[in-house]
Amino acid sequence: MPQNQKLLKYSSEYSDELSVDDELKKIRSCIQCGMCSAVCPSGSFTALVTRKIMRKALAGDHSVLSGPEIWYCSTCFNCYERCPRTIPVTNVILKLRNMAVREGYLPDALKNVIKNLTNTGHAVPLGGPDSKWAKLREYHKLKKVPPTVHSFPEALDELFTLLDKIKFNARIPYR
Amino acid sequence: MTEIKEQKKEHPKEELIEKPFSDLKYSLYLGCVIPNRYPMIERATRFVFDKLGIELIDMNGATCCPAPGVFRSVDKALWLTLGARNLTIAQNNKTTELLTLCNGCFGTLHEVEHEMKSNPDINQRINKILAEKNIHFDGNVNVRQIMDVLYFDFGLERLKSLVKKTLNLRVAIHYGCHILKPSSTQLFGQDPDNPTFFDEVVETIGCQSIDYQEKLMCCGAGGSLRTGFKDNSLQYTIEKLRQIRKVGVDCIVVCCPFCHLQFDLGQIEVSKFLDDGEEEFRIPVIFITQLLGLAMGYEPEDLGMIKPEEPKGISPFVPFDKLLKKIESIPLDNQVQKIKTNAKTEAKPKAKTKAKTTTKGGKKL
Repeated sequence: MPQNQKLLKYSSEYSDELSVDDELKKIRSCIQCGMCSAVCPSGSFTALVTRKIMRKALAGDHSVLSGPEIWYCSTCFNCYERCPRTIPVTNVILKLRNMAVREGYLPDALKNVIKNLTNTGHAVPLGGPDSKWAKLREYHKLKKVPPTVHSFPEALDELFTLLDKIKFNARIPYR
Repeated sequence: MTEIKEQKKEHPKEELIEKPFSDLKYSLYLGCVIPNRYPMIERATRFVFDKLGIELIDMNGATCCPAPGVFRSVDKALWLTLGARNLTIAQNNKTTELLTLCNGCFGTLHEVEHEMKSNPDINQRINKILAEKNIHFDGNVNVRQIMDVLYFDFGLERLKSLVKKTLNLRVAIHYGCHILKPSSTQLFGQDPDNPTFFDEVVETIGCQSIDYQEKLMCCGAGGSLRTGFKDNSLQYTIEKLRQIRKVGVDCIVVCCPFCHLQFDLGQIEVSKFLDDGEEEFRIPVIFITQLLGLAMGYEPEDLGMIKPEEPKGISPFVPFDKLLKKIESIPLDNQVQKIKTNAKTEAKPKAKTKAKTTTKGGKKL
């Protein structure tokens, strides 16, 4: 059994159906040339080595999901554009993150942002009509509360229903 | 590259250019950072569009796009579902064009639009989820970004005609990532390593786009990096700020509120990474619609550029004072012309007499 079967096996076992598509399979054509790492801005500041991420993913090395490195990517898509084998490197990293989350490896700092969205509909919420940001809006002659989900309780209900429908709260370990 | 060119042909932009301004209408997608942290961007954009008579229809009940960095990373099903729901709000507004002022929202909504239109399997699954609330995405929405609307729908010629005040500022442009890449779905048909649309717009409205090293580098905020590992994300920002300081500019111009936040608040946050003796960064950051408004001769206050005394701890974090003083000292173009014509009319008689004397002299000779 070739090594690359491993990743595909556990991807179908742990991932939501929607996350499994042909993009992950493309890493089989990785030749470890290092172009992705050479053009990676994060790579020059952090421990992210995209080339290694690709190799570990291909080998089914579990540490690719448990380690923090995949979370150091700022999704600038430089690697995606430059890969000579046209591997969608950025999308592969995003998929690996999806898989990591399902295994419980969600960086703590992201949990609050997810709570914001699931509670208010905004990742960066206003903080209520008495917050300093609402006052700033008023100063700028805008409606105190923007005409988004913040102003429409029925839209928030709609969001809750959709979250239930995709079983988000049950699947994602953010609480 | 051929793929991109073909895509460009399909886009109905050329038709739009022929339409008068009043015929254009857009569903305005605000996102999170603009309405809840940088409302001056919302103010400036609404103000400028209002002055031009272009209708912006609010997308009532819109949620977070959801952010491509955090939510696409966490769960693609959530990302597609909420993204598609947002698209249906533009559809219910009976508009085909959804205008976003953010590269991140553009990244999400444009990609979701693309997936929903090109992948029947995903379309079916997501619409089945949305059916729970009797929503259906029909596919008649085009996701647009403010730069794309300025460049194609307004067009450079028309932008030029709007300029009432030639600012001639030295500006550092930051494109941001998701408006350029992936190039296969980019709207401009330009090489993501050598884009020009932002520079063209800025130069057309009378400013100088100053090149700097790492101009195309990411600001560092995206991909949940700011959220998850802020110090790492600030490494990008300080690198870019150092390069921008080297060339010397009046301001940084952005077309994305998240890049805006990263450069604005980021200048305060990078203080801890400064070398010994290195000066603090205080380069004003302005949004493209604010710059356009200034070039159109509008007051900085109408463009949200005057910061209130209270409350404390609000945006913008880098003061505009120096930039505003400079802008105040720049006269409107018609005043410049008046001064010039006055100078000419005053100078003319002299010139004539001079000319006469020379002709006389010539005749004499």
